[in-house]
Amino acid sequence: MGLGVSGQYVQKRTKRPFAIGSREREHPMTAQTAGSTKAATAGPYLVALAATALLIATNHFYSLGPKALGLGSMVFLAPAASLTWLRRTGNRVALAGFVLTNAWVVVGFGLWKGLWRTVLPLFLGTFLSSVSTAFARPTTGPYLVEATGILIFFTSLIVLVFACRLLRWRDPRWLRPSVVVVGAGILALYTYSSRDRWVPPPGGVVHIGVIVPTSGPYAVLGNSFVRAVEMARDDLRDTRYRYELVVRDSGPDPAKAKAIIEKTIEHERLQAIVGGISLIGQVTKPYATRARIPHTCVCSVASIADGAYNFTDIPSPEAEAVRWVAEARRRGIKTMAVLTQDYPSINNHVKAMEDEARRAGLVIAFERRFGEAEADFGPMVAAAAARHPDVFYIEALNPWLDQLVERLTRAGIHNLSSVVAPSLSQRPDLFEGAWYTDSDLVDPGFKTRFEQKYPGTQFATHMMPYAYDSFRMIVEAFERGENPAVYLRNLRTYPGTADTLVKAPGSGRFDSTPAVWVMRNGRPELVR
Amino acid sequence: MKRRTWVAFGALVLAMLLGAFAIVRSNGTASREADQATMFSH
Repeated sequence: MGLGVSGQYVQKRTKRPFAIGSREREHPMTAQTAGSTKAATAGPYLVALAATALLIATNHFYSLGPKALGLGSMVFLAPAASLTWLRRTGNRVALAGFVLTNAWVVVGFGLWKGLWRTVLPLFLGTFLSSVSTAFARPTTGPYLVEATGILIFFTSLIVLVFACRLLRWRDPRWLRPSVVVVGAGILALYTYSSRDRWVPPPGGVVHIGVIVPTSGPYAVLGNSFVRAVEMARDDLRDTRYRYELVVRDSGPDPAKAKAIIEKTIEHERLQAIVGGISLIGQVTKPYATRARIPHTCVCSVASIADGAYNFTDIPSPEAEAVRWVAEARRRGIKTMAVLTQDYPSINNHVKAMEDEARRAGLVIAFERRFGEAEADFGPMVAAAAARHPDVFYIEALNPWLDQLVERLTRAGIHNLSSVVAPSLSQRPDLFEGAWYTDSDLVDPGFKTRFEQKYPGTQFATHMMPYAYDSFRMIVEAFERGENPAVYLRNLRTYPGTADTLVKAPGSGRFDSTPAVWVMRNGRPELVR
Repeated sequence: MKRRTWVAFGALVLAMLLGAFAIVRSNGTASREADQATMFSH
């Protein structure tokens, strides 16, 4: 017998304690409230259930992949099977199974996933964040995920209504006022729980995570970064709280860094994270958001800086581009070759620079982007040189940077330029005469102090001052007794070591103005 | 449920879907990583 023909089906069977969909014999719970004489059919219920299952599968496909189809199937089959069982046997266990599987769909997906995790953040969360910085602007996924989340909430309510009809549970008088009260309670609970409030650090100790790659190709930069944060901590005087650094090597591989970051946040009870390197910052971002702790990334990838819990604080690619093109024009440059590594922050620099260059009428005569597997730069350099550009724009991380420049030098090419990259070089002598844009350094004494404190440690101008400032901004929040994420959201300007940092309301990006540097005698010299 | 209840229900759903579209557009979409960690890891 099919599920959709319940009326006929139940009438043919007589040895069942509960007849669902007929008045033949009633369940004790339904008998109390049943008043309808009309048998409810399973059709509308199954349609609503199938729609909910389809939406759940679609919603979870984004995170689970093909496994989401299995989840969707379970969401449909479990309640449908328990309904069939209940109709055939009518026993209490089957009834419990039907109630529980529907509760799983309605509460587990409809109320939790649909209402609490989608509808409330999207609408109430967005509204609250627009009226007070004590509330973080919610993270939104792709529209399909958000839309299916909303629909899961509503279709699960329809499932609830039809499931109650099948069981002949009619609305008692107290139901509607109760829904209003519970609804208001949920709104109040969400508002209360999503507000970021000041909590004094337990035991007067603030744990700040310093998460950067200190091994692999970024080791030199990562270790210098850690030194800069240590210097900021050592410079603290007479603070209310004690600040402990939890230094963790994320490693260079973002996939492996995930587990390290997640474990560090959970086990070390971090109250803030100071990070660097855009690849690792992208991985850190969602974990900081989930833990609701501020994460400052010394990087320039705009997608990291959500202004909720994640902030960046080096000059934007656009600011670098404007300064670079202005200097190129001042030098009479008309054509350029662009040789760069495929890496998020570098790609952003290149895109901004090329957009600005085109606006200014500069010609990009040659362009090549290479990956980490690039072993021989010879053919690339020869092809670029054949176009006789006025300048070679190069940008990469080490070791590829120095390998590329070495190849260019061997080919007799010295008209080099870049954004930031030369300050990362282990062979600055190769860049002799090259000009590039990088962070300003309004406090040159900072670099001197750093090099005296950590002799032999590389000072990357676009990172070390910001690592130092990031730590101090977080310390300021705690010393003022303010939630550090809220403090950073409210901060508009900060007198930084490299430059005055400026942040627009609602933005997560602290901007500053870059300067022009030239490599002279193996050392970067500020031109401005 | 009455017909007008269904109409009101449908109108509410539609309004919320349109509102969500506007919010997602103005917020920008999170990365796949962000979605997984903040939306699905619970």
